[in-house]
Amino acid sequence: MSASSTAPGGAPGPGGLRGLLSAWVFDKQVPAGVGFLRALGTALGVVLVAQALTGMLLALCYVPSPDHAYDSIRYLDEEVRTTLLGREFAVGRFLRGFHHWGASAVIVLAGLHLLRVFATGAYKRPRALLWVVGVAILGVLLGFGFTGYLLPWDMKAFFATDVGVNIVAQVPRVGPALADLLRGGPELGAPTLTRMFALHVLFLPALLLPLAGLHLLLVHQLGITPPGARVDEPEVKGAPFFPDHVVRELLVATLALAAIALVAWRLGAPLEAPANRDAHGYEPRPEWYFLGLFQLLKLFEGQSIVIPTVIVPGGVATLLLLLPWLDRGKERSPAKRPFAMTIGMALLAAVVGLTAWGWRESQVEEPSKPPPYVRVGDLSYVPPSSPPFAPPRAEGAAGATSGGDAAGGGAEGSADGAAAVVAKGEALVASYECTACHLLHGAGDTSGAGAPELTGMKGGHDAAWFALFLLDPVKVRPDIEMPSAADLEMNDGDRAALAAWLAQVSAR
Amino acid sequence: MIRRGFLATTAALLGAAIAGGFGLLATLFAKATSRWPARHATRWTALCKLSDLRDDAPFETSFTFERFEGWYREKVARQVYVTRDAQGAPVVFSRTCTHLGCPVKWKAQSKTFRCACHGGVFDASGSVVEGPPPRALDRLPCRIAGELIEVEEA
Ligand code: FES
Repeated sequence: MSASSTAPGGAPGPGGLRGLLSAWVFDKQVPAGVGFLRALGTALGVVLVAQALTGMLLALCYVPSPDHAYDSIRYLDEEVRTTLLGREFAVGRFLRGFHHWGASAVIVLAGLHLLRVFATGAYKRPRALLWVVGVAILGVLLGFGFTGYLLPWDMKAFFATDVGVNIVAQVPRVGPALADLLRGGPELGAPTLTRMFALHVLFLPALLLPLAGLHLLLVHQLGITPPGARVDEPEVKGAPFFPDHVVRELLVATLALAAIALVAWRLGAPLEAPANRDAHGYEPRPEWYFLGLFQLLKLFEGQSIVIPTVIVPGGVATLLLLLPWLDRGKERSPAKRPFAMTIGMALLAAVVGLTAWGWRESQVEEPSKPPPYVRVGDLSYVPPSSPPFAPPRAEGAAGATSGGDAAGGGAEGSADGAAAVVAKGEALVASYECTACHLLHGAGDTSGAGAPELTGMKGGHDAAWFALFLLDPVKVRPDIEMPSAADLEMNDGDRAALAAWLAQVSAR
Repeated sequence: MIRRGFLATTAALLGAAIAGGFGLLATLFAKATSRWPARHATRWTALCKLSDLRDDAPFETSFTFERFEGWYREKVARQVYVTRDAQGAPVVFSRTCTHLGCPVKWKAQSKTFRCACHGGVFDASGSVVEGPPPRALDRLPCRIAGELIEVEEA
């Protein structure tokens, strides 16, 4: 962030706050040739502060207990609203979206920062400790990602965390005990949620703060690595740290924040059905930055499970931590470090490759982009033996046997078939007497129930969600009263059609 | 020097934009989470029979209703006194003293509501007779529905 220097003229600068500011900010110079690439670390720091702030706000409305975690998240998404410039603004949804996508941005920025430091040989003397602290910070950041994942307590959170902890359990000898420690028991449950929350908001910040403080202090003491200079070359001073480099840092940080905000505003954060441990057949997928490890795990079994669980992660961590001592050459320029660069590139390629591979496989399982109402055709067939919370996804056997039932004869998957399903759904509103409680286009009776207007419903749910909801509304939304599909004697085809229609007429 | 001034201004503006953005976000969030969701439309709950009403003899009763406190569904009990006014219309008083919220109690001999906490006294129409309460007892919206008196959840 800054370069070492003394006050002009070598005389001791003024004391107090001004002196401190001078020493830390105003009288600093950065080495010649420093550009935007050297601003990634600060951008990461700023995004981390943003994560802390949004996390603190979210904690005001979050309950780390299975009976209310999901409700509190849904409350945040749907009911924490206000007006901004005369327009309705779902500030809770935005905030949760920001924290969710911000987590990805943290990993991206940390990765880029690490790559930059590696490629420019900045981990070399005298900055070995700075590098080691940075690697430790990366570990803590991954810990944040993992512990935060369970908190929404939806299907994805539950099963992805389950898999994550099971990976830990695979570690020979100590694994099972370690997994119990993480879960607070033999299976994922209430203690796990409370633990993950405590780790996420208390333990990990307590680790991160001193590490980040030390990292900053060392940057301050040692200064930015002079680009391209050999370890034993004297540093050539360039532009002043303030404002020249500070502007670069703030520009990159602002860009990162703006990108996160844009995605958060457009997408919010995903929320599936509430966690249900009986939902067999739900295929969990971890967050993208764990996909590589996840994929690696698929390649080994039996005795060799020790390779993906211990040897590879442990090896990479050791390699990173020891890098300054493994590569003791005096050259920093990437062109003059062919061996280190080759190894680094190979590792990077492996990580990217595994992640991409894992990503592709996870996409195969989920139809990529069909409009919501086409997916329902696939959903309409729910085998009688399936648990009430069969995953709301269209795939495999269910997809293959899905039926003309919902598509109204034949053309399911095509736009015509989908339109027919939707039309059928609208027609069914009358036959199931939905308007006994709900309004439809403003008409109907709402005296008893406070049931919402059927069109323009909020929440951005797709047909799959509605299909699941109609099956057993109270299970999905414990806070409401509504008869289940069984109560209404609604068959699966009708349910799919209604769901398709509801999704199409709900608010976007 | 002009360049330096421009860059310094840019840095200050960017810093202010980031800080201001988060300040605004926190303010909006604080505002939006400082009230409960109006998830239930107003509902009327049966309180007592119309024939239960007596002149000048408020009687104590209670009703319960459910509401959402943020994400939490809570069953709330409300204690009230029911009486009727000079025109014979039903009146439902909240038992909560308007001073600092202790429950008031009807005293038949003096025909007053008395609050034990700081000696607040209200007459049968709820008006303050003496003591620190700043205003008359709160009245809950009520209506006659056939034989019943219904009160609005609040
Ligand atoms: S609370 Fe009733 S008089 Fe103070």
